[in-house]
Amino acid sequence: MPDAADWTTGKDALNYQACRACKHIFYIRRAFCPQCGAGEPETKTASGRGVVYAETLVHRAPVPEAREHVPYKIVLVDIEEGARVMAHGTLDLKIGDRVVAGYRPFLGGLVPLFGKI
Amino acid sequence: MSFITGVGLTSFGRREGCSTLDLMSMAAESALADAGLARRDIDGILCGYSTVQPHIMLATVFAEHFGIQPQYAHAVQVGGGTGMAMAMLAHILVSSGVAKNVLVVAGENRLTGQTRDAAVQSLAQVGHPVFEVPLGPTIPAYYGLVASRYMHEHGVTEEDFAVLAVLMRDHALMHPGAQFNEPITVAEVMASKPIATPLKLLDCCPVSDGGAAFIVSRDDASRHGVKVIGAGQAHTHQYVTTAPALSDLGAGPALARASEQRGIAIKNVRYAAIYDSFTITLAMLLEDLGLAKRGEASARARNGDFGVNGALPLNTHGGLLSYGHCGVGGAMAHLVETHLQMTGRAGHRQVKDASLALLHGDGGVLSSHVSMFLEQV
Ligand SMILES: [Zn+2]
Repeated sequence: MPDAADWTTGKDALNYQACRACKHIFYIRRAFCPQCGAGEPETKTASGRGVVYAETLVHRAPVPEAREHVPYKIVLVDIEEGARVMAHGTLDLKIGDRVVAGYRPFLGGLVPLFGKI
Repeated sequence: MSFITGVGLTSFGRREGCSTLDLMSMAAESALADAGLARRDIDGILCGYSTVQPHIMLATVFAEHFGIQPQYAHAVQVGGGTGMAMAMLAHILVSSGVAKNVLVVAGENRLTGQTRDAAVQSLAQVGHPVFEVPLGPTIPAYYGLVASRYMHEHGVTEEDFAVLAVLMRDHALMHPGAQFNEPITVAEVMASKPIATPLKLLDCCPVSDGGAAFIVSRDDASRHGVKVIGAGQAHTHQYVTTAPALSDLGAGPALARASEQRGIAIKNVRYAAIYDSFTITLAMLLEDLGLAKRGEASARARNGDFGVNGALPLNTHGGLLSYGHCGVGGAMAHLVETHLQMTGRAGHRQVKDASLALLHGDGGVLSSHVSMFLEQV
């Protein structure tokens, strides 16, 4: 697996992958392209800029440890490189907002937090 | 060819002291009695999963417990789509001669067998373990994301969703087995506590104990069988992050595959049994399946079209939203109710004409879809 260091491993970055064969862009990391099957996709670091595709404000936490954080906003963001990512967002975010990623600690890890540009 | 020859359904809600196997057994016993079959007549068993009692071989655990030595048995896992996927597989097994009578069964003490936190936590795991679950989403949050986008694209409102919750509750009031038996209003749905916007408590199905079963047979010895005349599936994604555009989800393709064998036109459908884990799920599926125009599911509901006396009765037992949701058995209740309606045995809920029914289930976050058509014999 190529360099995978990003928020999922505690680093303040957001990575995505690009297929060297068919140019497909995707977010959920794997060792091959899910569109054409070609191996060794390139792992790239995103600029962090994107547009909010969907948003929800979570009032009922899934685990007791998350209760102190409610309400928190979860968003789907279309990053400018062409992938869709799930992340946290500031409470004011609406669909269509242009946003940029920051990071914050959450439940013992680090998660991307998008805010308006 | 196959027939659904017997159905069984427990009441849903709190079933203190009932285990997964107890609820499965109760439903299976009713389905056998309804079909007029004995245990020895069952040569195939399909069962769902139980989050409370996970097991790598639940079908044989059940078969042994219940007292059947089938020629064919295994569990099936398609999330909320499992019940309809099992109905489709049973139809295939029977039609191809592998089995004569397949017992399809599921049950779970999901409400009393675990804490509410454990239920919410285990269901949230349907998300991606690395890229989604660490963000603290819940199932309602996944559907809340979908709902926000659906409202944005189609101008649907929270009141529109609330109308569907009220419809399901109105239906549940007519069924003694339903988990909820207090009427609700649109205002009460709107005022219920927020869970994951735009979804509020009454937009969400409850967690229930319950069981459901049915028997799919080659021969209709029961004389009240209904015929399976088409089934189809579509699986476009697992995670909401990787879902295609709203316009490219799997309900349409699953329906097309189910329709093509017999060239069934959607306008001829007289009864609808549609998965309704959340009000948004029901609204989207009704519209994706062509049972309402885009953005107009609620308008049809307001017009009374989906009522017992309407043009297209829908989930007349109350659906997941108000009959209850015990996991796999939840959506199987839709099929049980459809069978009762099609065989004129729905009592004071009986609709005038249920000659052709469309059933549709989905699993994950609109990830897996199964459509099925049933016809009166
Ligand atoms: Zn590729």
